[in-house]
Amino acid sequence: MKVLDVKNLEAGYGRIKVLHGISLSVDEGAVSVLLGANGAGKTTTLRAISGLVKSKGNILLDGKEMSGMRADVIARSGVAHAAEGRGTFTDLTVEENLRVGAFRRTDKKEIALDMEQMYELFPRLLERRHQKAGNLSGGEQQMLAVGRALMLRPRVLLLDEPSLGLAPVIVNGLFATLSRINKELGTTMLIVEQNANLALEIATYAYVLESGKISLEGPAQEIAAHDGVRAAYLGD
Amino acid sequence: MMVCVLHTWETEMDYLLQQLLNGVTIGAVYASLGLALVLIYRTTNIANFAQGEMATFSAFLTWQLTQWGVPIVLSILIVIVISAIIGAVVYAILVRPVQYKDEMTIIIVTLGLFLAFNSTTGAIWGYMQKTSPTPFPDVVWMMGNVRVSAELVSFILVLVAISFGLFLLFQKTRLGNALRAAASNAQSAQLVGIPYTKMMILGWGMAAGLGAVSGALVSSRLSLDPNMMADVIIYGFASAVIGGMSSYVGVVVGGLIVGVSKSMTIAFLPALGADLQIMVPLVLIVAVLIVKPEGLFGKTVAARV
Repeated sequence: MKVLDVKNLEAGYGRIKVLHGISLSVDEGAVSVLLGANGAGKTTTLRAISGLVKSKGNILLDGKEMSGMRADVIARSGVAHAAEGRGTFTDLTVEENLRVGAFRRTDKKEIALDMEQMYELFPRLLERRHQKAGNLSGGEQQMLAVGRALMLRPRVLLLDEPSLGLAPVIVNGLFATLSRINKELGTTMLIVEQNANLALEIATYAYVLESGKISLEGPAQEIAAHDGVRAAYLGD
Repeated sequence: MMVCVLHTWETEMDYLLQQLLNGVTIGAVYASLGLALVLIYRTTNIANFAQGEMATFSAFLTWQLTQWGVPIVLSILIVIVISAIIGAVVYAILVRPVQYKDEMTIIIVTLGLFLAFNSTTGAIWGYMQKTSPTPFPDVVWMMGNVRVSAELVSFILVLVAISFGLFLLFQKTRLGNALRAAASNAQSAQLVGIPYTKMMILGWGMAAGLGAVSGALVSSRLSLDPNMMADVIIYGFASAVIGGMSSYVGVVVGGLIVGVSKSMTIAFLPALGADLQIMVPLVLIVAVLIVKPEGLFGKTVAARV
């Protein structure tokens, strides 16, 4: 079953068109990855889905049309977006960030349990729970961004370049945790990544975006074995 | 005019204490407007220069209601609600369109609001001073030779209640968390489902309601006139900046510092006269900002990339 189904999405900034009608979907419990070079339109795709950029086309969440809705309405419908550059609330503490992530929910007990789970997934956040998010390191901020997005109990989690600016060791740990979140919590994900190797490892399906169009798509293993992809994105 | 002071140690102490209490009273007035400034700054990142004039407008509304026979306390409560609605409408219609423009544009808009509210008040009610009824009992207790007025005690109670209420709202409630998140990062707030514009409207509404309280305090101390907030807004900003612009406790402490230093200036540096008194809070601001740029209770956040 498709949780997120995007059809003929067109978007841009002012007169500059970035996306020229792309279609993609993510199945329940699956991880789809969107690969592409800088400027291909990966971030714009996620921003259009979460309502931060105006777009044309259809964005269906569990079959319901989200296109044209306000960003906060889309979020309350169940789309969590951990944005590029992390976007944590820097003058709120780690704990307050997580709590605010659960804004759309009213199940207090479950929220408390989920917070415990985030601290279990990201022990570093537990150590820093009473510190301002602005004082965290880059890796910790990324963990917080993912944790905060999960607190929404999303139908689909959009992750924009989770590895950006992080040391390789931290990136490996983060992707291991993402994989665990997908398997244990069953969270459906759409990940945008430049680090194609790691992303393809945890993904079930992959799309390659070139100049605002999907140039190639298929099961993650096939895409990982594709010669053109290997040359362009996997450093072979 | 020369003030004749008997130079005995005891009368000196009494005089000092009396000036201290006077300072606390006016400090409470500054802090009340400062609280509104901090509230709006914390929720919308805007320094609202029109806050004082909006409060003056509210004070005149209260006066008008009492003229129509509404009891003073009820008038104040009604006006708090009306002011909150006015604040919300002002944000939605005039401030929101420029919210994402540069800071200079926003400053010009709030200065425009300053003039608009000031002249509207003058146009409706005229520039003659009016005496306003006070909601506080006209009682004075003598502690030795020092006069403690019920007004002073009431001011402090109102102030403590407001800052405690704001503290609870912002630190302990879901709505408060959402308001702080919206001010901290507008885009991320929307991404967790917080209706951003509603939060901004709420922030302006609450600040305008608080301003109405401040207007009531000022008009109960002085007589009503359209320019009565002209120096209160400056001292209010001084209190907020000294306290750190984002701390409710800070602005109360800042208000007391400014108020007491002002009354001490009047008492001990009469040579400065009425016009130069205003230098004192300015010197204080500069001194605090040099020693502690984030204000006494402000927090520094190191942004890392």
